[in-house]
Amino acid sequence: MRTTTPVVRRNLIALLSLSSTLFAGVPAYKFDKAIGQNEIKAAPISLGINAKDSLHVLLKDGTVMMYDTEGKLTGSFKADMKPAPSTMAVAGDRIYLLASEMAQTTREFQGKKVKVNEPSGVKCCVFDPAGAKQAEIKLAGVVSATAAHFVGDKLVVADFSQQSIVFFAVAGNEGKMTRKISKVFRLCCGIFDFCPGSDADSIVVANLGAFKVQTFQADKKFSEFGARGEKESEFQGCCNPVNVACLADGSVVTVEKAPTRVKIYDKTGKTEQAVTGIANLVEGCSQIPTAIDSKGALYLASDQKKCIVKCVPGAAAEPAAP
Amino acid sequence: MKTCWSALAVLGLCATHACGETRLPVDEESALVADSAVADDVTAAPKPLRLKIAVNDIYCSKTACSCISKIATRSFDTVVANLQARHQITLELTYFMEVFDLQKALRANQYDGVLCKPWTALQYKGKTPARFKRVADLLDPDDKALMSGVFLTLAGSSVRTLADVQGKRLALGQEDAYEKHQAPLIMLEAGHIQPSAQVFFSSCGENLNALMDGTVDVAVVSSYALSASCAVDFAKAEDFRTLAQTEKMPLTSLLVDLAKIPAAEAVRLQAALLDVSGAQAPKDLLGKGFVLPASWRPVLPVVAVGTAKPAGPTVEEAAK
Repeated sequence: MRTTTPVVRRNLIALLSLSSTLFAGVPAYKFDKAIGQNEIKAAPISLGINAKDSLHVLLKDGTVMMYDTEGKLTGSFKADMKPAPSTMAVAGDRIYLLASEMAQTTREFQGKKVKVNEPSGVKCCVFDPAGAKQAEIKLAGVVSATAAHFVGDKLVVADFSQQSIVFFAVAGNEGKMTRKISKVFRLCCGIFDFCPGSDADSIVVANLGAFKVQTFQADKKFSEFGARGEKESEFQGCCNPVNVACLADGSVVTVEKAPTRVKIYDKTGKTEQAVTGIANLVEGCSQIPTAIDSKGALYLASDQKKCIVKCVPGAAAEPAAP
Repeated sequence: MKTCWSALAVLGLCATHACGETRLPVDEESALVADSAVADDVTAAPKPLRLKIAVNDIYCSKTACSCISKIATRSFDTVVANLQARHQITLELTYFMEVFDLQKALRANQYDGVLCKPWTALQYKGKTPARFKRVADLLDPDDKALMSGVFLTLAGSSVRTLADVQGKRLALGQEDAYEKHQAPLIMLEAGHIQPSAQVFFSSCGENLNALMDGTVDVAVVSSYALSASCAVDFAKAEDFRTLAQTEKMPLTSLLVDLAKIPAAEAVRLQAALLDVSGAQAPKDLLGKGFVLPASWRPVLPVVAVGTAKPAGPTVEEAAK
């Protein structure tokens, strides 16, 4: 009978304790239910969650739908904004809808001139849950809005066109730029997502063209992980991950487009687990808006299936994803 | 019968190994060479031929990234229809947006042929039963068939020539990208140039990111990286200086597995592809279509033989 050497035994114990540490901190996530399958009529493009864990879904046509934790529709309204909003941030009972205003311009691709519509500024309107407009805020210094969140008391906007993330102190109808992170993002496909980090004043960014997840604290890159590759722990596709979200313990949920892969990495990116039971949520290069509530429930928006997929830690059953 | 034997004789000549002691057996002609007698026979007596072809093409709308959707509008639908109507050749295309998925399919030996960067298939020579030969090269939208690897540095860098790469930090591609890995390593080997550290990324985007972040001094990318890849959204050609180009190689080829498809049929397919190309090429093919395969004999750098990556520290190791 073969016996293990002390070194092998020590390595095995280390490996087992590493696994148990991960799974003790982050229980396995599984698909739980699909929300809004017969109610969502346009592509969901942004998710937000308020302090009461009410899930807010912004649709491409400007409709905002609100769901409780059971997935029951509790309200909706259609924002009267032109152009339609491209992203949303939720704080308390205030819903901030941000729209990228467009202007036509000419760009050159391989010597060929092509007319394209490009973002030229951002309009931000604030609504209450009944859809009544509360304010319109000027956000000078951003050209497009692809994602927005509140980090502390600052409204933070990801601007794909300028490849920057801008922090605004909002007071009344004015948004005063307080900080800007730029020149470090390698973005493509019009996708640019980030989420508030677990540490105060930090954000976690999906730097998809570089295949990296990066944490910034006080404007400085604090840590990063990720690489393109064939392994489960690596990212695939022409650019990934498209979206990120953070769990309370600082673990990072990464979401890759088609084929859709959702993984949860520890803070350092060294260990990861795959969220099971999720079918392809998008075709081709599309983002998959992602949000996490205070209890750790994970929501993923599918524009292809026009629904929200809910995944929960330690789900008993493993039903089929839509 | 005469047709088959002549085609096989030509193939036999092509398949002669020219490997040195330190070279892996990829050092052979990758192109299928046909004689005119075979092509004449093809148009004279077409018989139904059905081939399962895997596709990963940077200009095809079904496999390209959306950030180059303005230029990657190629469709194979019309050319497939023309091949069927005129030559009774049916190509069943399966599209792979993710090259890793295509590689898995190739390792599983699932297809009769593949339309992609040829090294994607040729890298498995000797590791799978497949014996791929390039029956035709596909022209890009500017009617060019070839590409290369490009050594880039930042426009304001003090690095000005390939020789200056000596002692500098270098980002290369991985072994599945010939133009970013084997070809530049061969150039460095020939010039006795030793970077101080090397890092091997799987995408041009990562190499450019490392260069723009300042973690490397020089990066090797595909020659189309700044015009037909995700990098177009964050890297502009004017921000870089080109130090050198590797040897040229086919960008996209249609390769047929001669372990599955008789050589005479491969030759017939070649003639048919040429027949539906040139002036006959449909507009949705974005160019003049297929041409005879250019001669290309991929070789492996001596230092890379039998190792996962060449000797020398990685950038991370050097930093430590």
